[in-house]
Amino acid sequence: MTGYALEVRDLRVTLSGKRILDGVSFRCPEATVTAVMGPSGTGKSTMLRAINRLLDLNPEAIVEGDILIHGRSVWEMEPYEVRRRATMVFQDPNPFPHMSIYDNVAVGPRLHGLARSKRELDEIVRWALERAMLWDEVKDRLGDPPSKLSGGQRQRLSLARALAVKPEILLLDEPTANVDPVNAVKIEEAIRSLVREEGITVVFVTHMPSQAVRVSDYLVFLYDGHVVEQGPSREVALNPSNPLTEKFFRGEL
Amino acid sequence: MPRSLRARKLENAVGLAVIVALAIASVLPLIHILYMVIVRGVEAIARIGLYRFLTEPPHPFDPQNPGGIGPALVGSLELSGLAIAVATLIALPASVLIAEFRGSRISRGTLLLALTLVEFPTILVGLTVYAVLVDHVVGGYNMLAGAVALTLVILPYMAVQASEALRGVPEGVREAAYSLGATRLKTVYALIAPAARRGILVGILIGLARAAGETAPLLFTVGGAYEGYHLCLYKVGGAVPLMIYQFIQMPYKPAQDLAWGAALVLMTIIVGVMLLARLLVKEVKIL
Repeated sequence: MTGYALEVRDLRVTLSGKRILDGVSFRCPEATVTAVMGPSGTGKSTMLRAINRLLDLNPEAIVEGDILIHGRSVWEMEPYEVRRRATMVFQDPNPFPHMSIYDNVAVGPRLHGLARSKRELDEIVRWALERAMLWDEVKDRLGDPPSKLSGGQRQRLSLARALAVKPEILLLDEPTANVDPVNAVKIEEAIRSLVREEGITVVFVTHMPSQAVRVSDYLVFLYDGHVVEQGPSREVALNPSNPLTEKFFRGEL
Repeated sequence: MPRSLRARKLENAVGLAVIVALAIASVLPLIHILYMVIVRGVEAIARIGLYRFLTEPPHPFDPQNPGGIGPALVGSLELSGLAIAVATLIALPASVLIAEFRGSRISRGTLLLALTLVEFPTILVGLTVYAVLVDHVVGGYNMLAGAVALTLVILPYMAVQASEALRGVPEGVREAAYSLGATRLKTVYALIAPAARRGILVGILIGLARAAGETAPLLFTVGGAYEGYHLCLYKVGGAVPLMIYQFIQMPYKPAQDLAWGAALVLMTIIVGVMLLARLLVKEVKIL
């Protein structure tokens, strides 16, 4: 065992003939938040989709390099196993529109047979919704469709749905980009407490330097498909060694 | 020099009038069809009463008691019911193949085949089924051949429609579904297909309307027998559109009236199914 929840080694991704990631390597210690930042279009989202093998579904994608989850290569696992161990929350809130709030969270545990009884399922749903800081707002209307929730609530519902399958790693693709500030703070808090109390490892993609510093333990700065700089968040933020990183923190990139 | 406001207003009015006139001209044939079918159909049905018209067998040579379309109606229900059931069972997996395994050779092949068959002349489908099932296997007109022909006619249409519905599921929902870590088939059947269920249902309804309205595939498969109720699958039977086709050509007034009445019933059924489909489409809500 390596002590790292996630290791990305020399990851190279080509999409429709275009090289998106060109040799990306970094490691995430267990129960930490790693923020991946960089300007739009540097391949941050593509990287997350490579990690949980969502890119497998895209016939135009070629992925090379290695990705290890707790020391085991994702190429040795079935894609669905990888996706279950590293679930993802996307930039746009995307709860299943045809399911109730309850079912949105319960569907993952049901698919994986995580609960042996209705009561156990109820408990998982409650736990996930509490963890996503949504329980108090929806506990009396779990049967409602997600269309009755606000955008920020929907995003927290998406987070709860991802948590309910009990992942080891949570991949967050700019989860607060389309959410109001109040909800963004709630999501950030939820993530911090998940790492602290549940030992989940988080990879958090963001293009906002301030958020990256606020939320993360480690920073990976991605530019044009390369890792330009990485290290403990404070160090990188206070003392960036690469001029590109500095420019990004000043908001000039 | 700018043209005067009056000239531009006049031009606008003329343009608008032309568009309205063309629009009316384009729906005029439809209105005429509706009008003819309703007037002549109501006349025919009123003579005997709606209930008797829908349940009694026809007497095409008896002006005193022309009878109704009961056997044809039951035959149509049997044929369309069978066709829609079988076609749905085959079309759904095919649509999953087309929509969810995009890029693979088998997916592209299935789509190409379906798209070709959609435009295939239905009379050829009837002819093929005739050659196999009527001529060879059973040795006479039979309902099974009709049901098979109808299935083949609506199947490609339903597969394409359902695959469109699946592809209409927003990319975000699709990614979220896959990222929950279920196997590909489980993901499609438990998460993606339910998200597209209205679109799929619309496809089934339109398939049903088509199965109920098609005539060509039935011409030399079911044969046409209307005296009594023929439910037996390997014997000759009847259907509403086929009855219209056959009765309108008879040189007897009661037969022609029966055809018009049957046309009204068929139109009502199909318009009803289409309206239901429309309602479903309207209610499709995406967050």
